[in-house]
Amino acid sequence: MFNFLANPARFSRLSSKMKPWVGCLTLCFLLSGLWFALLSSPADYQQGDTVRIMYVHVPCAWMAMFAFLFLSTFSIIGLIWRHPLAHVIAESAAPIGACFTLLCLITGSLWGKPMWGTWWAWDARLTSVLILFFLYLGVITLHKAFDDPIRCEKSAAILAIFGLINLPIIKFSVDWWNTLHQPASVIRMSGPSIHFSMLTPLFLIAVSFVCFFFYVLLIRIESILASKRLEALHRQGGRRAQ
Amino acid sequence: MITEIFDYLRMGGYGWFVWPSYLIVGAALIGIWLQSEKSLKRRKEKISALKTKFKDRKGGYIKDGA
Repeated sequence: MFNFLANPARFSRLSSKMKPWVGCLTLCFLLSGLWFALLSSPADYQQGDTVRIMYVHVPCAWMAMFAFLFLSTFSIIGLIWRHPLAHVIAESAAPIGACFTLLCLITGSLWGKPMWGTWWAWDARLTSVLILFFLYLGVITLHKAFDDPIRCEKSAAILAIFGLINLPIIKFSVDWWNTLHQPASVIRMSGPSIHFSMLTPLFLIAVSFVCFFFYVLLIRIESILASKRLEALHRQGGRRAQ
Repeated sequence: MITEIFDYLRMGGYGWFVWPSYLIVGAALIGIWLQSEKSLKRRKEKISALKTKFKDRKGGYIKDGA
């Protein structure tokens, strides 16, 4: 199945069939999530309406980590089994993950100013997420750093695998160190400490972001496969001209 | 009615933090989606242009050969 999809024409056909469905799912979850987040859910008794920033900030943070885990997994598959599509998937996921990480940092800053009185603090959680953003930038840069594509893929994959160390640091930073950032309140052993009325928009927007991630991922994979096809055609043209 | 809308937009005095968060997220996600679509479209156009070019060249050889 995985080998079958390495053919650009086949992948393009499958992607064209899947994209409308994934796009519709993204819109449905996003619109219902926004309705709950902005109109239906209550303001927090302490934080007031600033809590509504949580409905975009937390899903962005989850997506930042999920996308890195996703790209590292495909980097491992690419390195071990040398499957051509694995590195393409990893390369396609990196800019989307970087975008979610930057959004997490920006929305966190916008939430931090009214609640903590500062836009930024060199807190363990904030710093580890900033490192995650730099790791994404490193992976994106390495994918374009050398003339030899195999060298690019290998070096980006090694950085992605090395960067995996940062994910548990992000998750447990609020438990291991004294941080300004609040401790985990959704994904924890004793269950979520947030009321159902606030969990609903949070999960709806998170699911819409997952759908969006796969929607854009399909487009980007198709685009990278098209660029490889273009290079092959150029080489073919060059040989014919000789 | 208008007062209610303004009260809602003020978000209890935190509107300047809440609305930009949603706007920035929306703009960035739409931005990355459009950029990806545009790049795919450009590459597909280049591929079809190259294919047409090769086909014409091939046609030329056949004509010459004939």
